[in-house]
Amino acid sequence: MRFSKLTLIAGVCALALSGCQIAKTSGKVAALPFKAVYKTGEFAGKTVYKTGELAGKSVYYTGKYTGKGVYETGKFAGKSAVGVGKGVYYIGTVPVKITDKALDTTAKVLTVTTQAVDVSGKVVTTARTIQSSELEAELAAIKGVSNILNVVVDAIT
Amino acid sequence: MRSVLTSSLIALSFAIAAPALAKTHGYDTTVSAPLTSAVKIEVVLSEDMAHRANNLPEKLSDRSGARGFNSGFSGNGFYGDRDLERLTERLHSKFEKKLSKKGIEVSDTAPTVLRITIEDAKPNRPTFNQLSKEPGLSYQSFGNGGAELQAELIAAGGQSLGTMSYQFYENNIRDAKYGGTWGDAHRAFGRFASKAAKTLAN
Repeated sequence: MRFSKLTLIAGVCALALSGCQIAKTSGKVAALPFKAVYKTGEFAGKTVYKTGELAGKSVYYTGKYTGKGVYETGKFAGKSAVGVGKGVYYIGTVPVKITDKALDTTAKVLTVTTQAVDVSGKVVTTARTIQSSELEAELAAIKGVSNILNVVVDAIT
Repeated sequence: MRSVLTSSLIALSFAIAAPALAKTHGYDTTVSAPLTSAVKIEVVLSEDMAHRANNLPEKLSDRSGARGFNSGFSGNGFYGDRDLERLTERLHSKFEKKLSKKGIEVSDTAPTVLRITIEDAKPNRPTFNQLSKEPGLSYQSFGNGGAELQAELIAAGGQSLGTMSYQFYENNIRDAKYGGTWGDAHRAFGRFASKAAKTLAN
């Protein structure tokens, strides 16, 4: 009787131990994907974080440089008045600024404002009203003229 | 020997350049005695200035190479009567103020006359008459201005007690586009009035 009890206990223990082994094995198996996922998540998180940081930095610096760029452009644009910017063309060495209103070609009448230096050094600004069809001939006439500072073509609204 | 020769050459060159240096100063006077009595101020225009009120200058050399017959701003003409009247009034009031400040009485009935002549005046911007004469001309046009003035002190008997002259023409165009129509000419008036008052007071 006593022997049978011991045998039963031993059998139960053996079963329990063998179950633990299985459990341990399956625990390992279960742990590996978990760890992998965890690590992946960690790395992914880090990557995302770093990316975000870098992106943030990039955006910040881009913004800074953009800001600087805009400022400098504005500064130069202000200094040279019509030297840089949209709608500025050169006929010979004379900068000709054509405004957006004049560029859309719907206006039939245009004003051509010419700033020129005369012999005595005076800066004389004159404005003329012309038909839009005359513009090409008007601008061709200033080619090669050395005393004209700039020309602005605008539409009469 | 060499040092004596060098110093004498330097002294000689200074002696030759002295009148020229004095001329660049702009103000010149032959009035020697201070004015003790009351004075009457008369401001007149030179013949050339009166002509230029409604014409281009007679001399082609004074037209600054302007080709158009209506380009008054470039050609130093067509100033307009109203602008020239204002110039004379301004010069008169400037002299009145400066002489009073120096203790010289200004009276319209005084026997001694200070006759000031505006020989030449150039505006910094187009005048109203020039703008109306040349419709395409913009008020944004600008140039160097200035004035040339002469004054003569005449005693009760008609004899001249001395003359004063001054000229100022701005040579830097940097500030020309920020001023008014007659900015540099007004500056010349103010400076001449100050210098003349100082001469007459001392």
